[in-house]
Amino acid sequence: MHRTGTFPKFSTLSQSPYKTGISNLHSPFQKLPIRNTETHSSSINQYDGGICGVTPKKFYTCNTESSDEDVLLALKTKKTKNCGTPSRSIDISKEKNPFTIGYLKKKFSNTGRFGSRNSPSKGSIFKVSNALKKISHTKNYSKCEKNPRKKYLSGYLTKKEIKKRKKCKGSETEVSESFYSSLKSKKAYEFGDSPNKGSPGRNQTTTNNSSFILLKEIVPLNEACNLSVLKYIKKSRADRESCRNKQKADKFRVKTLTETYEVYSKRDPKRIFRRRSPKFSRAKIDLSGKKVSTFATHYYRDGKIKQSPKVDKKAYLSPKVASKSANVSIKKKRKTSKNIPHHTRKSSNDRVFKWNYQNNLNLRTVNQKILRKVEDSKGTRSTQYDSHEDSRGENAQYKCECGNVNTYHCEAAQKWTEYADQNYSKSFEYEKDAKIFHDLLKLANTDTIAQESLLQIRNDVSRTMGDEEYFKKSNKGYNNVADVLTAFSLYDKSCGYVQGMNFIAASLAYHCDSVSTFWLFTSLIEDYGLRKNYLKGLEGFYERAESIGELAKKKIPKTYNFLVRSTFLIFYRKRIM
Amino acid sequence: MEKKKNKKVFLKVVIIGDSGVGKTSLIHRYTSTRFLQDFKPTIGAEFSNKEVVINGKTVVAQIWDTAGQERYQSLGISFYRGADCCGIVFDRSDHSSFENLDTWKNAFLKHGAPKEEGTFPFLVIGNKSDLDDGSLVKERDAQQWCADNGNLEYIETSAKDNTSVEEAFTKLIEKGMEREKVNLVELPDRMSQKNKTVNLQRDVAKDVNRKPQKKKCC
Repeated sequence: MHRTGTFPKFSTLSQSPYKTGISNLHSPFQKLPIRNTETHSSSINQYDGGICGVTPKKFYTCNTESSDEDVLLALKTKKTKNCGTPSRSIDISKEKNPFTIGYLKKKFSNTGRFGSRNSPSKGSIFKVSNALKKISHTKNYSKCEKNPRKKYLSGYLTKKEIKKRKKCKGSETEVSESFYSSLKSKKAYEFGDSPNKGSPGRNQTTTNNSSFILLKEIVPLNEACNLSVLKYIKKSRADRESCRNKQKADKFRVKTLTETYEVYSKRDPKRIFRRRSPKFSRAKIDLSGKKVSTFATHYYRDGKIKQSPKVDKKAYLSPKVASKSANVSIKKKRKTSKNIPHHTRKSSNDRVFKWNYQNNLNLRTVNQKILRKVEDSKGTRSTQYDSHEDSRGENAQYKCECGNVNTYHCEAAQKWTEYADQNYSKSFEYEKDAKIFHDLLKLANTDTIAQESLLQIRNDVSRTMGDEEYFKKSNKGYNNVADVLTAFSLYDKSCGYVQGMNFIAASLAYHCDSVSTFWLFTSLIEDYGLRKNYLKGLEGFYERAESIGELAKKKIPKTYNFLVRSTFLIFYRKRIM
Repeated sequence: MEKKKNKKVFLKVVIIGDSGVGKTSLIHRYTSTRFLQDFKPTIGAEFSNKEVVINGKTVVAQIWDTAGQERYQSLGISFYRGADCCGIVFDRSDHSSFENLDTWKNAFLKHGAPKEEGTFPFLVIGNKSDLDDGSLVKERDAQQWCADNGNLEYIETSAKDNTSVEEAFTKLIEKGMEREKVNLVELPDRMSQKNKTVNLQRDVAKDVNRKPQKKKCC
């Protein structure tokens, strides 16, 4: 891998160790000598070519024997050897933050060759950004920093905007910003120079520790790093050694994570888990939407949480506070919560109150909306019904409150027929279908099979929709449903009449004539897969029960397990039963 | 002794018979003490629980209501298993339902597969005795059939007038209790006393609790 003088062709870039494997990235660290930040005597040759995680462009633009300063000079003065000249000159002196990711992105994208999409240089940048995303485990960190960081990385955020973001207090935000500010300002770590005057001096004291922790995380993630990032790493040898072994690195990562929790959130990491303990609050609400009373109730996942001595009973079981809260307004509640010791206050009560308050508001608004809808529908329906009765006349063969179209159809039924025409093989023609329907009914008197099912049908039809007068005995609806079912039992003899069909037929007959109900009924059963449910063996029924069971497994696993454990056999399974 | 009193006995009662015989109305009468004239034909199966104190023991009776039609019989078979006692209902005004008692009994013994076929507790219930026509099924015929099929007990009821509905079910449960104690499942205290309800809202509450936390900023 040791290159002498000759510059490799551009095609060899694809074979470069950047693409072959990340593990190679760490090999050069072994050869790295410790070098002081002030002296830059060592040449890049000691990095073993361009392997060392730095953006490879710079090594290929210059001789391999050239030092860092030479590289920079080359970049400044556009004097590059053995390589095509970059399309645009790069002036680092003018740029304030030459080593941030946004800067690198811009520059590489401008210098056509190196900024090509598949080049490793760009990939490394994205890896760094991904690594930074992974670090954002802590909640507060992700809260305030998600969007601005992204923007900043892409170079769209200015300094002023970041300062605005600083208003949201939290140690995490300060650290992260200081980290980027440290990257921004060229410091002694990078070139051994004295810190620039332009760099923000406020954060310098905090950056050294906090940003270092961030770096610790980046490295074990096996991601390529920025130039400045690398120079941080060179500083301490112990960190380098830890990066070498993957097993160590993993352990190291865990440690650093806990450290970051402590540093950034200033809370113990256990608390995050504690927060997940199930608890919720309810509120009684009138139909009018007024809040009658609120009471907070806390439930436990298991007995374990109860038994643990660490959890304060005051925090979770707060019947006194809850009972107070019913009568006292929310502002007063917060005052009462101040009396409770500090560690319990935030964790349970305050949050519950907040949530309760929000929830109440939501429920109240929802209730009001529903009430309005009901009132509107009442007003409209009454007017519609009056006008409808006049227009419908006495000849209508059905009873419903939808719009009137024919003597045998309402508006809803016509939509159904139009929809069913697309899937059904036969098209609906009233006169033809009426003939078929009446012929089938004539057969019923002679056929022996039909008369067996007739008894069953008469039994069931008398007890479907018994609340409505339209379906009571010797009424029009009753006769219609009975006719449709007898006709169908003759039409499809292998299936016949099965209990449960009567409800479908009755709901259709409410909107249609007997002929069109028969047509809609057959189209439902034949084309929409209802026939499986009623065939012998009930195959379709088992299929649907299984699918419901699987859905319940995913959506409500606790109830599913409870039902399976107990003796209730609700989710049927084939062949087991 | 106190512990034994607290424990509840779990019984599974299955009720079968032809369709339109009045199985659901009987069960509804027993569990909720009402008679619904506008009832629906049962599809598949339904069940309802009732706690009863019999002989100083509290019993949780899980009463299964099965569909009467033949098409659903293949589904109802799955509910026969693990039953402690069985009630066969027929309509006194309908002779065909009385003739079908044999098929119902045989189907239960075949698919339910209880350990003791000869002594399994059955109870024959003649429903709709309030319809006073001359063409009702007579007591003699019914009791003869019971005597021929292993000395089964017979009761005449009517769900409409509430005549001897409770007696029928108490007899059923007593018969189920007489079986071997091995078959009975005694519920633990946790199930019977403390946690009668299952909180389905827990998961929802968790999810709701988390969301506002995310939204907080500054």
